[in-house]
Amino acid sequence: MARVQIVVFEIDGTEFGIEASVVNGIIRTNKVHLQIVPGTLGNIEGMISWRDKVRYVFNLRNMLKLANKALHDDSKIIMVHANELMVGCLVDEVTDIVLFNSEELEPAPPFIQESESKFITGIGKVEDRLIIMLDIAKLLTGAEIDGLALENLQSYVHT
Amino acid sequence: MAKVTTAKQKQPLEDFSKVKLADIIDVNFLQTFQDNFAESVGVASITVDIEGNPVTTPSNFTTFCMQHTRESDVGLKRCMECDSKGGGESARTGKPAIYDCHAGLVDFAAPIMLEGRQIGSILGGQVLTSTPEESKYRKIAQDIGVDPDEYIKSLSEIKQLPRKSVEAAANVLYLVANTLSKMWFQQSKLKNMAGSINSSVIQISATMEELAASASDVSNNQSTLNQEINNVNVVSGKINEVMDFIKEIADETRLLGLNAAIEAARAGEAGLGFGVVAQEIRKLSGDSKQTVGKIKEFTTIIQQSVDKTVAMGSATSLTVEQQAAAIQEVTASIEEVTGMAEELYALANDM
Repeated sequence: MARVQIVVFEIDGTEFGIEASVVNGIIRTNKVHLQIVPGTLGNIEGMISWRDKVRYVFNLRNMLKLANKALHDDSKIIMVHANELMVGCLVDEVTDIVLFNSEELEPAPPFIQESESKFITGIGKVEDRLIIMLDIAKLLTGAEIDGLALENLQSYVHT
Repeated sequence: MAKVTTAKQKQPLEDFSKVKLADIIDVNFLQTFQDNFAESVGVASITVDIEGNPVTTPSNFTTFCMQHTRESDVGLKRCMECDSKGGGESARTGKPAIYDCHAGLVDFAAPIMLEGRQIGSILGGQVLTSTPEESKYRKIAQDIGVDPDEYIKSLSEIKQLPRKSVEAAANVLYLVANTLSKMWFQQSKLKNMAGSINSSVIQISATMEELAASASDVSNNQSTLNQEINNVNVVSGKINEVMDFIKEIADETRLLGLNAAIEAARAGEAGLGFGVVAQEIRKLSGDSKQTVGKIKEFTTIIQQSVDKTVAMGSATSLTVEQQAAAIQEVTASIEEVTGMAEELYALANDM
């Protein structure tokens, strides 16, 4: 049985999980300078300098269709590696890192898998808590659909 | 502060039942008055206390009574019976009594009253209201064992007065003695009151000074207290600053734990042990953060208490200031009263 480490974070009181293997690090927003990128749509919160490189930070709220909220002291940026790209995801708080057996992860039902929310891969249960498992690569592809020129960004990233 | 005047009382005002006639009447004045009055009217007079002891020396007493009648044993006995009878009647009525003595002379007895109680008597008379029959007096002289010729001789020296004049003389002596007694009584009362007022006022003044001093103590203590409390406020503010710093460390530690866990996860099986350590670090930072929250709650409570205390302290200061002002007003009034009491006392002593 496979064991998988999940980084759990919270946006608007809802807990989401992504595989730790794609996570490169967590940053406190009040420790970095998050600078806006003029001309980008709402999905891009801004850019930061991380480990001497420019990285773009996505606001997952828009993609997850959650109400927008100002940055606060506990806000974090999760640096993820997705689609060959190192990007940041802005979240309210990173709450936990948990170890799941793959059996404990309930796969997403077909109606989700076939909807535009196909980035939801399943639901993890920790006691009473329900954690929505996200496929970050699919989520960020969704962002691209929303009109973000990820490929353009990629060219920046690779320089 | 008014100058202290110590009131000295000759006798306590409360106990008039023990007051003696000699204590209250200006004997010299009474003696002079009695002598002159007796001489001018021609009656004999003497003032005695309640026990019958003379307070004044006899004025204008007759040889007939003093040397002849009273020097005989029988005569003295009869005289004393008459005195007792007259004195008893005046005491009973509270008014002058006019009576005929065993030797046929007219005497009077007038009570001296103080607050409805007899404290002495004025006795006198030794006059005739009509021309005496010689034969009657010769008989009396024989009865009491006195030389009749001498007796008749001294009888002739007795002054004759109409009964009305004797009554008037008795009334004058009665009025004067009682007025003197009454005056003394009122004066003495006044003196006592003035003395009491004086000593009370002095005590009040002293108490007021203590009050003023303690009000200023309270005021000083209150401002010190306010300063100290403000210090507490400043210190609790500093504690909060330190707590913010500790919270920052806890947040940073937690992040460190999270990142360590991620690194551990990426290391696969080899990172499992490190993952446990990372979890401990996160737990520790969580505990720290909780503790910080609790301490902050406490410091908030402290600050609220401090705010309330400062507000109450300010209210107290205000009250104390008002009290101090009131005390000053009272002290000023008391100084006036003290002055008046001193004047009153001097006035009463001068009466």
